[in-house]
Amino acid sequence: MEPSERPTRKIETDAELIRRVADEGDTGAFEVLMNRYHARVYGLIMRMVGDRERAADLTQEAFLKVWRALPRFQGDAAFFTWVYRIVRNLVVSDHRRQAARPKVALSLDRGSSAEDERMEVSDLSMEPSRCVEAEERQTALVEALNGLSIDFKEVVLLKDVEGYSYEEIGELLEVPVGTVRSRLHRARLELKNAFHRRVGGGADES
Amino acid sequence: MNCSTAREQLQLLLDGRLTESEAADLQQHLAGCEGCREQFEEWKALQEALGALPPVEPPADLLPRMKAAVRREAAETSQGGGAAPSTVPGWFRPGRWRAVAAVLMLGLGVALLIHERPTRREVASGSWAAGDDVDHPARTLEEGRHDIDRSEPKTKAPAVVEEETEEDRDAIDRSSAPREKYEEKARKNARKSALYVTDADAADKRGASKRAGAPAEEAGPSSGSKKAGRRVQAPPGRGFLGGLKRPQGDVRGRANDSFASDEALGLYDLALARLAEAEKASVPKSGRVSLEVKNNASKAVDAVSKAPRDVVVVLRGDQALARLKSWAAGKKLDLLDLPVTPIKSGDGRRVPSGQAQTGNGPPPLGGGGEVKAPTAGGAATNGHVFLITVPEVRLAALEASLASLGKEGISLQRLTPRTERPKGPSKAGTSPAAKGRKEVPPSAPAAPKKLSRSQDSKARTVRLLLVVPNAHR
Repeated sequence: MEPSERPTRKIETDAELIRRVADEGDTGAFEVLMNRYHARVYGLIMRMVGDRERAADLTQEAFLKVWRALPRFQGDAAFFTWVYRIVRNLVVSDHRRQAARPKVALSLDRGSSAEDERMEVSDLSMEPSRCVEAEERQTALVEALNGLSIDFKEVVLLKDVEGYSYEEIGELLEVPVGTVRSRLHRARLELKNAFHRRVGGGADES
Repeated sequence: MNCSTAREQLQLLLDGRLTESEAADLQQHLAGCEGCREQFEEWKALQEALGALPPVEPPADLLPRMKAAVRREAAETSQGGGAAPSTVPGWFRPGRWRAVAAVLMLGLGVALLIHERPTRREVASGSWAAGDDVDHPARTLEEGRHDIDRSEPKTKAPAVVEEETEEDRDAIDRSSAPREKYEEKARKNARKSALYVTDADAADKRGASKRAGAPAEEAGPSSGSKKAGRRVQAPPGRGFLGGLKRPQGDVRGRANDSFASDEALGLYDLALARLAEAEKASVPKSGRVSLEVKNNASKAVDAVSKAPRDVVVVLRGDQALARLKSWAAGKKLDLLDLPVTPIKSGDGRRVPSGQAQTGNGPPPLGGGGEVKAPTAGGAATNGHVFLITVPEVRLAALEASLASLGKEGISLQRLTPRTERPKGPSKAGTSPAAKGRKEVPPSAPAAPKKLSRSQDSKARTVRLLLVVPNAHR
């Protein structure tokens, strides 16, 4: 039975690529890793910092750090978890730098391609009037999210936007699951109140 | 239960973090308390709104910029004497480790080879070997593919290798830059050498050069490691599944955990069986289909909504799944969902292909009857299996995007055999001789390959099974 011999096609796992980068300094292997993860990393950073250019710069900085540090990657955590920790440190220190200056509130999705994206999403709704409303709500939500502290924003993003589980978030943030739960609880509460203040519905809860 | 306790727990209910009895208590409270119910709806709406935020796409120039930056840095540090970044401790520099690594990998390769053997036999004796079974999915798949081909005129395949379309290049580029080199190399070899005879061979070659590392200067001392590495990386029977990881406990841990093989194979058999049933009930019609994986429903729906993708697969959570399915149904997209629920430990028997149905009659497509998947380790994995069809040229991009989600245990199984069919896939579908897979002569691949690769891959679509175990909570 010929097909039984090759029912699948193999692609390189992260571990294999990492080994090549670590052992051989193989830029090709690292490029594959960047291909795999850059969008995810950029997306997270973008949502955290709310500025496309800064997000792009931080993404590049993050991957350069990853490149430099990869030979020391022990493989005791998943690659992305490890990358995320690097990203997180960068974002936090960038946040501190930015906090020193006055900041214009930015939509997470500001920018021309974000407009396109929103059009696409609107396209999924049925009626035009609902689209407008949905768009407004989305803007309000993004603003409310941007108003959260970085710790709160992070945990909401990871759970509700990116879809990670409590356990996964615990590992990413290096905190116990109980901490994830309580932080998430408080973060969502703050988010809900801020969101409702913006769209003018629902009473504050504490 | 009083209201304050209930409100403490509302989020946990939404997150699926309550025990059954806690959830039941809370539900009971909600049924009788309008205030808490309202709160619950608000939380739910908030969560849905967050999940529906449009995805953030990186700027197009970001990746090239990053690659250039890394190359620059690599060049700078290699001038300083080592190929690796300067922060690498001396004892970890590649030169010293290559020899050691080669030996280690060789040993590991041999160890794994021995370990893999029973598994491979298992696969061979499993559904793939059951080609003489008339109900085997492989046969129905061929027919299914025929339908797809009818909807897609095959006359446009260009005759010249060098005429890659933008789309091709894009697909290649998305998967990995070095790949382009390999393809070019493989094509050059194809003209020069009689070795390049089949798709399978080509894939092998490409795989080999890829695994060996693109840069030419890498050749040499580590060839031992390459050989061993290749064996480790490509256990033929398990292929894709063998390399991917399944989530366990704290999901993202342990980069080297493999997908538990029995479980994976169980899912796989199940998927095939379920597929066979589904296709008996109704063969999905499809045009060109490409695929992208998102870990969240709104992103998936969003990605689907962007032409020219026809199908996007996902995901985590039933809610996400339901949303995507209804959307896909509205657009008449080919999204065949094959829910798989495993049996808990104790029942380790394999379900023979085509006989897995435990309910009455064929289940409705997309979410009907469940199939029981045997799992050996007792770790029950719920999951979904999708039948997808992609143009072969897009396969690489798909694999790359899947690989980036590898830690969720998502895997891909190729259903379309690699057997060369010079006149395109529909021939196989229409020709009675090709109906049963057993009738495709095993020697067919030996026929010299006449067509150029790009011409061939343009005409071809590949059927794949995407296995998506639910994320553990």
